[in-house]
Amino acid sequence: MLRRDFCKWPLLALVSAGGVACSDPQSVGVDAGFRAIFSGCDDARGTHYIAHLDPAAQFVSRIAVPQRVHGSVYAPQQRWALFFARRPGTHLYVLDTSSGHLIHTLENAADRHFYGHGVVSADGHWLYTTENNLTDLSGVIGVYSLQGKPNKVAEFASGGIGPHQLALMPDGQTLVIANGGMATHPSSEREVLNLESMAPNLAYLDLASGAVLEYHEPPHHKMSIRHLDVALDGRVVFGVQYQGELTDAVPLVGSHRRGEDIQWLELPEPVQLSVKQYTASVAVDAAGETALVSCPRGNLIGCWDLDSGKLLQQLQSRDAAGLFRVGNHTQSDNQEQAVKTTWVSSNGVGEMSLLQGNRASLRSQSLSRGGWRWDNHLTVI
Amino acid sequence: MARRILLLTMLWLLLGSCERTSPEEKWITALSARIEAGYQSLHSSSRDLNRQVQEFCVQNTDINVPRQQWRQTMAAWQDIQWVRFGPIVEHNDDWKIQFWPDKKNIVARKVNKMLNEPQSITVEGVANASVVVQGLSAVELLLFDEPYVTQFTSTGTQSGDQCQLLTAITTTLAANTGRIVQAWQDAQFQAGWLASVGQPQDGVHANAVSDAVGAMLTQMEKVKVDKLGGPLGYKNRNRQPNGYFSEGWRSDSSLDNIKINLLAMQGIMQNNEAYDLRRLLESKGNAVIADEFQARLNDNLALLATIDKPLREAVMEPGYRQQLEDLYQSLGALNSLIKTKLTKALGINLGFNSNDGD
Repeated sequence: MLRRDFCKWPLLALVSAGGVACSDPQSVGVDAGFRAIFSGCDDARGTHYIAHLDPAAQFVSRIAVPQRVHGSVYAPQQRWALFFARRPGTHLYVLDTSSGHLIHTLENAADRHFYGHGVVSADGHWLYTTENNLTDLSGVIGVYSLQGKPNKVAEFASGGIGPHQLALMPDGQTLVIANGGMATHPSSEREVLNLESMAPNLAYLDLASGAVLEYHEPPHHKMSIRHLDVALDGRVVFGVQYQGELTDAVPLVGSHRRGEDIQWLELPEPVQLSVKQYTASVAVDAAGETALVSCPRGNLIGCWDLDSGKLLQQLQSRDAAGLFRVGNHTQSDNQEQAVKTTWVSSNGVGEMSLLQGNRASLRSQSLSRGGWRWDNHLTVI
Repeated sequence: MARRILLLTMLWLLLGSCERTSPEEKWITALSARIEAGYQSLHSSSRDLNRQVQEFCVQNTDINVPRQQWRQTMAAWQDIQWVRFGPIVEHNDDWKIQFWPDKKNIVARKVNKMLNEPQSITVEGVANASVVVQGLSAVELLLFDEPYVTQFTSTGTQSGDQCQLLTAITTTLAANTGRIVQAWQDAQFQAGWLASVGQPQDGVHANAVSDAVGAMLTQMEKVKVDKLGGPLGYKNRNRQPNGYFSEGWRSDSSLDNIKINLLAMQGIMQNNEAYDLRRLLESKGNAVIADEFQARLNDNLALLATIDKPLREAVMEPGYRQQLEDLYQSLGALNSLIKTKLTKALGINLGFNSNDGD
């Protein structure tokens, strides 16, 4: 749907009380320093879509797709937004943001499926995705050429089972991978087949050789490391989904620098119990000082100070989902900007918002509100 | 209270004057009253427990008196335990009433820590402490676990620290349950909850019918996976049964709890004195789902009745294995019915990202 069509929706919204409300075109997002948002979403009937939104969180394009997507990434050279099916989905969707068309739908090999995340190389030529090798349930990083129609040219081991989110380190030569440790096979849908023998880890891989340079295991084998983000100084922040009891006191958010031990962030008992051992999106500021983590089962977004490990703030957000920092401002760029990093957040109950302000008192400002269930992750450019 | 009656009356009149009350509104109105009665019962039992604990401690009365009252209070909680929405989840109040599962025996560790601290035990100290020591699990430990019971009786007088702690916990429990009753009765909450019935049941909007049915499913999954699957060993690396993973192993109340959980589901579906879920289903031409739900419930209750030993012991005896596995499967059939046919009959979509698992 093109933008010009979009403002037909308020009338429907008035009738159904469940439609999409158009924001003022001079909305806050326009000035917030970003050009676009990409996210998967479902409508109320459960139809899956890939979406390109403008800074006011209005649809630029929205295309129905057969498989539910999870994460996305932007390839700037090609001006493509790439969307990855969630497990056990096999599709990779390529949205050409110039034309607004879905120009490619890649079907993975019969013995592979995607885990919902991917990342583009520093030179923009390559795409790396997390995948499941169904012959032995080992984790695989698929390497795709982005010259012309994306096609897989290589793959290498992810360093564990169930690789989920991955990111490019600031050196441009290393991948950091959250190997969740959970073995699943499409024949048993999403059931975890190795709950008692899980071996999750945070692995660093050399892109040139595929070699595992360094990996770290959490203190409990059921602490599935799933999502992560990287600051400009190489600090990695990651979120855990714990597969054990709701009453176990285990950390769910960690921070790591190459060559050091994992630093686990504070999780007060009331927060531990309310988030139900589940974290979704992770977003760290460019300077590596502050991390935000969405917790849909606790209907909140937690904000942590990374140096002290202290939980600074909890923001309420029903079915909290996507989080992404806007821009790469750091303290060295501008003191004012460093303390006022902006994030975009989404949730499963139709809200897309900006989070702004001092990091101990972030405020949520609605960009749009409607009947779309935003999926777990979003990308902002 | 007067404000609440006035507001509900106004709402009733407003709804009546606008259009006929929908079956969903009738059900949620009746369900709200049922939940309120459940919370009142829990609060009343908690206050009695607090009183009887004090009598036990001050007058050296029989420990079986507070034990029996603990059972009543736990029964009242089990009846309403399924309500995992509304004010009770906002401040972890559900965890404050009962902390379980507790495979690592955290309750005993935290209780011992409080008993061993030099400063005196106070109500304020308990209320500000971990949720682990604030509720029925900690009271069960003190009233039923052998070393603690021995400590009560060994000196001929009730042990000072244990009694102070028992009194402080039950005082806190009575206060917490009282707050839950008030929060449930809050006019603003009630008005909002009832009004949410008009929202789409799409998992995007807050909707009381979706809240209730989602909570029923969550509760019955908990019964199957934690309350039965836990002691059966289905959650362990070695798949070995372990009676100490049952919910009420100290008081042998595990099977009673499951029975009350099932009867609570039955009370939601069929309540001859109020507009029940059966009538809501009938209004949609889906009475057959209510019949099937009742049949699956009856299967579970019948299987449960065949287990004539405490769950803690039954899971360890091969002679009971088949019955327990049959019950596990039967609970699965009930849950599958809720997840598929009941939600479909009511047109409900449950959560999106919160149920995603990725």
